[in-house]
Amino acid sequence: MRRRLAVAGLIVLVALACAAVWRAGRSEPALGERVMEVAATLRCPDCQGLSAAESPSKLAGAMRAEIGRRLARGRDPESIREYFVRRYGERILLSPPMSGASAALWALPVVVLAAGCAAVVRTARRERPVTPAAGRSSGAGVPSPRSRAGLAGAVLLTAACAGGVAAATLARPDGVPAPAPVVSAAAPRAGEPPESPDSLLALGRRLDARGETGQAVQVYREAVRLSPRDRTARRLLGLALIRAGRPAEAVPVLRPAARRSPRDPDVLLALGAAEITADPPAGRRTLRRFLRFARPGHPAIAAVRRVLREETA
Amino acid sequence: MKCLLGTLALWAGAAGSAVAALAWAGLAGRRTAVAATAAAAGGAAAAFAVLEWALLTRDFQVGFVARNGGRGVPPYYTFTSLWSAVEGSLVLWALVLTGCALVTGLGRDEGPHRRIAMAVLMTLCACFLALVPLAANPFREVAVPPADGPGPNPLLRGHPLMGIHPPLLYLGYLALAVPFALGVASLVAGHAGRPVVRAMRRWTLAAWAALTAGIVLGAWWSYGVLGWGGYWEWDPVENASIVPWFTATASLHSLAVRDRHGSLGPWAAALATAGFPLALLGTFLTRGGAVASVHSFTRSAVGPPLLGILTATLIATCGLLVWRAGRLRRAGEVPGGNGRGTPVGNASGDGHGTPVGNTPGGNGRGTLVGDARGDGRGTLVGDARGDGRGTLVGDARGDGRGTLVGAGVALLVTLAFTVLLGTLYPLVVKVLDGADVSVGPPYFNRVTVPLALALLVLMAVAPLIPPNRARPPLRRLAWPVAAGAATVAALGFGGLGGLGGSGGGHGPLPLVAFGLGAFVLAATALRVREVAGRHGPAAPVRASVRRRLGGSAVHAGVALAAVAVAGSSAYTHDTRGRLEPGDVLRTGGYVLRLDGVERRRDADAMSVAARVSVFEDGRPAGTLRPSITFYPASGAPPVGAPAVRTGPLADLYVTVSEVDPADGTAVLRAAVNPLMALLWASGAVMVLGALAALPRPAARRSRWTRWAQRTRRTRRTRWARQAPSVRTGGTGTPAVTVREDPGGSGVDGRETVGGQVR
Amino acid sequence: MDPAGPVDTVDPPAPAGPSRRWRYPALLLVAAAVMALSAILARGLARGPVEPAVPADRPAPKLSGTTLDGARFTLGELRGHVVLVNVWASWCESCREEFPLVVETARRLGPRGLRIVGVDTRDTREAARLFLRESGVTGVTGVNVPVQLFDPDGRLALELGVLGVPETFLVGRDGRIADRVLGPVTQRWIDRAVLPRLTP
Repeated sequence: MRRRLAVAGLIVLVALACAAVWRAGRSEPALGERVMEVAATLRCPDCQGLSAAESPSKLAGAMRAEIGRRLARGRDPESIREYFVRRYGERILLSPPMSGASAALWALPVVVLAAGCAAVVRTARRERPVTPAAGRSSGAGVPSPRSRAGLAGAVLLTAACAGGVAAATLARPDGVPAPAPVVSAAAPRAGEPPESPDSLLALGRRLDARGETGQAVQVYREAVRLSPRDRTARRLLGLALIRAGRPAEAVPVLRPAARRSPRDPDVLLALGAAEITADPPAGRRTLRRFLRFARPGHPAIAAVRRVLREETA
Repeated sequence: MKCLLGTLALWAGAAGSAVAALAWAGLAGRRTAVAATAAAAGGAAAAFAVLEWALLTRDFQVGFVARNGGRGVPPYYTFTSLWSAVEGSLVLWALVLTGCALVTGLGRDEGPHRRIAMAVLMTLCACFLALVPLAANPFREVAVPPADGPGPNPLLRGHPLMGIHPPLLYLGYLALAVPFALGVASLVAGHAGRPVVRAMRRWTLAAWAALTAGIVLGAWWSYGVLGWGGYWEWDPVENASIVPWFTATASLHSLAVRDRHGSLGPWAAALATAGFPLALLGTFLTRGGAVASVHSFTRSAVGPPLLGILTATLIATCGLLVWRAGRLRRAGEVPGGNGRGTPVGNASGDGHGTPVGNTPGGNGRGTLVGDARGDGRGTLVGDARGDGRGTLVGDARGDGRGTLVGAGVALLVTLAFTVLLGTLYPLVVKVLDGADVSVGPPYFNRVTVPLALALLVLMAVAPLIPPNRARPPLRRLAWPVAAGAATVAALGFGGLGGLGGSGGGHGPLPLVAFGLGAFVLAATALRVREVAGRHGPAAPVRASVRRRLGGSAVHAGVALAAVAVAGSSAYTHDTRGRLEPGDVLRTGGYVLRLDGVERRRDADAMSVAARVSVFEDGRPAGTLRPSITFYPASGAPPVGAPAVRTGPLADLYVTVSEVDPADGTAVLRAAVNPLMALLWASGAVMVLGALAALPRPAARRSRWTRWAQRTRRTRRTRWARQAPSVRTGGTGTPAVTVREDPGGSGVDGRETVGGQVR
Repeated sequence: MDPAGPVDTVDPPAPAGPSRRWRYPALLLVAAAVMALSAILARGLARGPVEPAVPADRPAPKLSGTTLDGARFTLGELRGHVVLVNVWASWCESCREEFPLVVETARRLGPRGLRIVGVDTRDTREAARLFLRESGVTGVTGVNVPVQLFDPDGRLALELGVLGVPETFLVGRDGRIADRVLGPVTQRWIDRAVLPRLTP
């Protein structure tokens, strides 16, 4: 009797649990949660390795807002993802589609699991008493001829070494390497071909554009080191330093450029901007020089005039 | 001076390793080999010490210090900055590897396998120790030493866990080199007996414990430092650590089965060998610069040679496996080897239910120590992955536990494969097709979550199946099922008030995970009660019991972790907003008021913090200061530090993403992350369980017993070389106390002294 | 000899058979797999992490919204012109640096048919106006950057597929995006990409 009661109780519990799971599967999530769900499947375009749901960046915020608008209009998640793919490419999807080439990505784990389970099932089937004769083997007792084993071992070792050397050779960076997105503060590293100042400047601008001013400074500095006479590199380095809140460091970087081309308004502007906080009298002088040499339409003239007015006032 | 000293130490270590490799390979005696191994370890330790010395004395003439040291860095983070860049971490890598090799070299003898394994290990040591000075020498001298260095990456000097998380991970990766070497040795030798299996088990378990601790601490670090509120992002570096963890877990279970068996099977050998190359692959992927990751170092010259070592290892391992694994299979069947097939073996070996035959402590099976999960009762469990041949038992009732363990191993291998595939896939597509694709959390979650849930079921059921039974008795499953179902029903209908779940909308998945967690916990509790009940209060003292209880603790830890992961990923909710001083932000029962913005200047950093008063249910509950730190001197990107208020049920996690010092506004994100404390606790439970299951080091035994054992072992080893089959059985060692338990219902009665078979 | 039992001289038929037969094909397969993996890793390493390829050459989206001055504007109105769509914001420092060149380009190439549309994204009206004033746009007579679309919630930026700020899109006369620049525009890019599309 008690046993029956227990069984009945168990059945009731399990039924309740199933009902709870069913209910949880049916309930409709709130809009905010659905936004996060969709955003979690999309990459934040301007950060590294974060989804649009997690990233604090402004662009990710815009993405969440757009997803919310579209969901509210009744679009389904798939069409929203499609919208972003059209603009950003497949890369924006954090989970490749199940169709096409990436189907392998979804199918292979299933294949591996099936193979594993098949092996286990085979083992379980085989599990029957073996006759002594079948269970015994002379395989281990009788070694294959030593020479043959030795030869095979040598072949294997040689193959391993050759493969290793081949892979290491193949892996040498080719040409001018695309610089890593994360640039360390490290000095130029040995074993890498020198990067061209142009590519460094381009990289620096990209970093700058992403707001990673500190890293841009490193890159510009490297460019200045490679071609010390390049006034564009010096100007960019100077501007980046000013933006990074280090105008005092920018002054010695910009002065050689200003000496070499004393009439370049852009260089003068940068130098003046650096000096105006570090060394105001010199800054005023430089900015006046800028006003002298800037062509009439230069967009910064008004701002410079204002600064000079404020400085003197 | 330090430059020269360090480089010399590295080369001395490399030379020592090369000599040791040759000596262990048989060109010299054991004494020479051990001495050379010690020299290698000494060289690596000296290099490590010199580098630390240079860092701590801020000797900017040393290249590594010039790039990673800084006068403003506190001593603790100066010490840890050794592993904050690639050259220094390679030195640490070499130190840990030679350390593991030395411990293996000094340990007890396992016959010819030891020599081969040591030769393999020392070859690896030589490669890495030579790689450091050739490709990434931290001791390269700087022509013009700077007055001050930039200091380590700001992310790597803001959290005390930096001191232990990377070394633990390295320990985990490199301890896997020992089972790898022993596996290679077994493949070369063509057979491997119980001592080898057991040594592999020991090292794999040690590696597992270190890996688990490293992974959990890494997640914790990421939670406390990176500031986006999560702890696991399926980032390549994280994946690189979880893949070996999966294979090590699989390997532990298959080795446990093989231990009972007394010999190494081909699949167990493959799994045990796979861990280290996978760890190497992961390290290469992330440290070599092929895959971009938040955690990766910049590209450096070590990539190509590291790939060379990796390729050579892969070729050699896979080649050996294909070529020699069949031999292991046949060796496993050698008559008497595991007591199968021969009359002798049968009588003593699988004498389950036949109370005869075991008493004399006859053969391998009788002397078995229970494995971490299981019973040691002499039931032969099928090798996980289809090695049907050495697994046969003379009992036709079937072996449910073995099959379930096998299925679990298959699941773990699939998990490892999936994660590896997802990590490599973008790279493969990029190289073959030139296209950019991302494989991120949605993919990994979708594939791994069902596998993990299935694994939870197996974890609960398998240990409850009595030996030699195909299915668990339904009655034993009743309580766990009731517990799981009650949990699901209660949470599903009663709501999750404590977790702050705002109604439904989370789907059924977290409920299922909670239910399965309860199921596993109840099943584990049942198992612990059985084991402890059978052995009385003194149970934990005995090695085999301790091992089983440790295994149960690990299972409980995994279940708790599953619950915590499900809860924290499904029930987190957050609010963001731009606040002016005095404004409030409400999130899950908390009210946060921005009181103001604080600025602070350090020697090389400037930080702005938002001062936030927290009110819980209307009562003040302290102040939080999430901050952003800028590093104008070194030009490093700004680092946001979250402020976390840890609670037993949920954390309040506040980050600030923008601060405008002019008008004092700040953009805040406040999240309530449930069950985080449980997640860290579950990590501790897993690690402690693994440590409890780890056999105590041999050093505890007195010198005399060790001497006695050694002489006895030498005799036996000689035997073993002639006929591997009788290694464990033939000596009739009296060290085995056997208590027969014919019922077959409870746990086994057979025990060994000290958990070791002598 | 094996002390545990009589030696069996019969070779086991089943177990060794298949594994022997499959050994060499398996060896080849495994070798191929390992080499393929290594080769891919090696190529990946040799290239290094590459900046993402950004899709260009697609129809320009139908941007429409209000300008900073509150007027309605749609990009379609400029169909048949070469248009530079310049995404900026007042909080973006690089924009400050880039802006003079944009203004200058508008002044220089406007007579040759180039139209410039600014998109001020994730910004406030006041900050944007201040930015324009500080950058000297209003102070210089004769220069017009006529349209400044106001995009406070980033909708237009997403519509364009912006990866960062500043970013500039070149829309051809056919209404397709012909080129794009991540980060500030340069004189060199304007000479190379924009000039050839304009009427001489």
